[in-house]
Amino acid sequence: MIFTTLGTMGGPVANPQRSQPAHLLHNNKQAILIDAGDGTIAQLTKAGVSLQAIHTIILSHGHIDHTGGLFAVLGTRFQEPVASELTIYGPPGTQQMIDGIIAGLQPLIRTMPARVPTSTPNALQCNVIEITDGSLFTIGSTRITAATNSHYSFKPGSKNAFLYQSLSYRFDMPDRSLVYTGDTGPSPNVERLAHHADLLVSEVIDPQAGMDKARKSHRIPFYVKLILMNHLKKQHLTAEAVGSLAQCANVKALVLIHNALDTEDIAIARRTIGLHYHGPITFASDLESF
Amino acid sequence: MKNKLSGVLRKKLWFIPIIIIVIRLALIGGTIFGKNSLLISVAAIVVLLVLVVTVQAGLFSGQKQQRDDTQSILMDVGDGVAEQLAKVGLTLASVHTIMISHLDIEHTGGLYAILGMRFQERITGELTIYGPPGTQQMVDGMIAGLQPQVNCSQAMFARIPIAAKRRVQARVVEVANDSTFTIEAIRITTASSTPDETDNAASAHVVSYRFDMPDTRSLLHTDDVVRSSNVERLAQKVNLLTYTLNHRMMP
Repeated sequence: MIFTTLGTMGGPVANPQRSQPAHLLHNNKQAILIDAGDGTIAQLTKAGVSLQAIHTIILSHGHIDHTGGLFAVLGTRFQEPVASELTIYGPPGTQQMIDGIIAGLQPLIRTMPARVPTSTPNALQCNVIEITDGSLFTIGSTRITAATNSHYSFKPGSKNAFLYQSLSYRFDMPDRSLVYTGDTGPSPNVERLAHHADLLVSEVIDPQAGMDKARKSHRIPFYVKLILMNHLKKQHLTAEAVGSLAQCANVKALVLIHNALDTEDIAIARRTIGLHYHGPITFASDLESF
Repeated sequence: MKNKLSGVLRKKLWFIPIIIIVIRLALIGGTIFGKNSLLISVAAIVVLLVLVVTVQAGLFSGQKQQRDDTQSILMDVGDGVAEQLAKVGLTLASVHTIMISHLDIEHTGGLYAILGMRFQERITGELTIYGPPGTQQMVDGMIAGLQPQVNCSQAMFARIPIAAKRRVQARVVEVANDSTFTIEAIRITTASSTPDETDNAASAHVVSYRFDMPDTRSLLHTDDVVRSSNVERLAQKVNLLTYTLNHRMMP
């Protein structure tokens, strides 16, 4: 299956060049949507993949940049209508989120029968499966493993650490293996998951650049800046951390997404990663395939 | 610069906000520095305090944020609208009003992301959403869907009182035919119509909005495909008409 980036932006501040996080794992028969940020519908069209082809959505975590497009995806499925079944995998909380979205679509649903008789509320039904660390499931001939990562800072073993999880995924396909970090900080769990993967698709961040983006967007309180800086440093991967992850996990190739870096910063990040990891490194744009 | 600094210091009550800031910083110290020693927290608070005072006095005015005073009204809010805003150089924070013509998904799909982004980016200004009947229920559903994220944020920042209270907020105004209201000196008049006049309850209400601006320009935003006397009346002598063609979902 081919991995196609739909959105390679990092963080929720909208960007004119990079769409919000969403990716596809697809062949000519099936398509799996991995995360669904705002603009997913338009990006799918640009990638030439129809909504009908998508039978599975896999969510890494609930942050809005990774889930903001779900209302449009479910609503468009209902309105078109798309008859195929949809299964959504995600961390705990996914069911509650989908329930809310479907509740929000009720006013639209009420208006539909008079206009599009083939569109029944059944078109909205989707099968939500909440997963956690170590969950294993199979889609077609792809075996998928989930692992919790360090994007959320709750104390391991605490109730909150169970309620709010951010997941990384490994896709073992017949011909190759791919690991998607989602959003994470340095994490031994992700390193284990990525061990000897053919392709590591990883987030990357520059804490200072991320901070500047947030500040340019609008005025934020002083204490928020402190929290944000801490979050960017510890719960995301700097270039150095990505290089170290790729090297320790001994992956064959590295693709970088979730990228809020400017062109100059990318050149610096590439050099920094190269100090640790000596395999091929690609900074992906939207709509690139691997 | 010196004048500004002494101006701040001369004010008799200058120490009150500073004390509040110190208490606030002490509260968040644990979150910022984890389990490191108290000493680091205290030292950091002192340093930050000095920074706050100097920044407030305008000593680093070059680094001070320019406040974005641009104001935007969104008319309809399809999927990806946040990125489209960025493409025309507008921030999400500039959007204070959203007007929805009807509830078909290509006109509403981006609202869920906007509500969530406003929460995650900590945009504090009020957002008002005008729309046809059903808009409140739709927004309520979206807010329910965002609840796990709100809970997560509240749990993460439980030690910071302000952050722990944040939620997703939007004021919804469901508009009927011939409503009139004013936003930033723009007078807005609405016309409501239903594609299927025989069954109001089950069919989609479409709201058309007429904007009469202070410079005498006027604009009509309509997505109506059915000939409607309401909309025709509203369109009298309008300067600019935006009209959606080839609307395939309507009968």
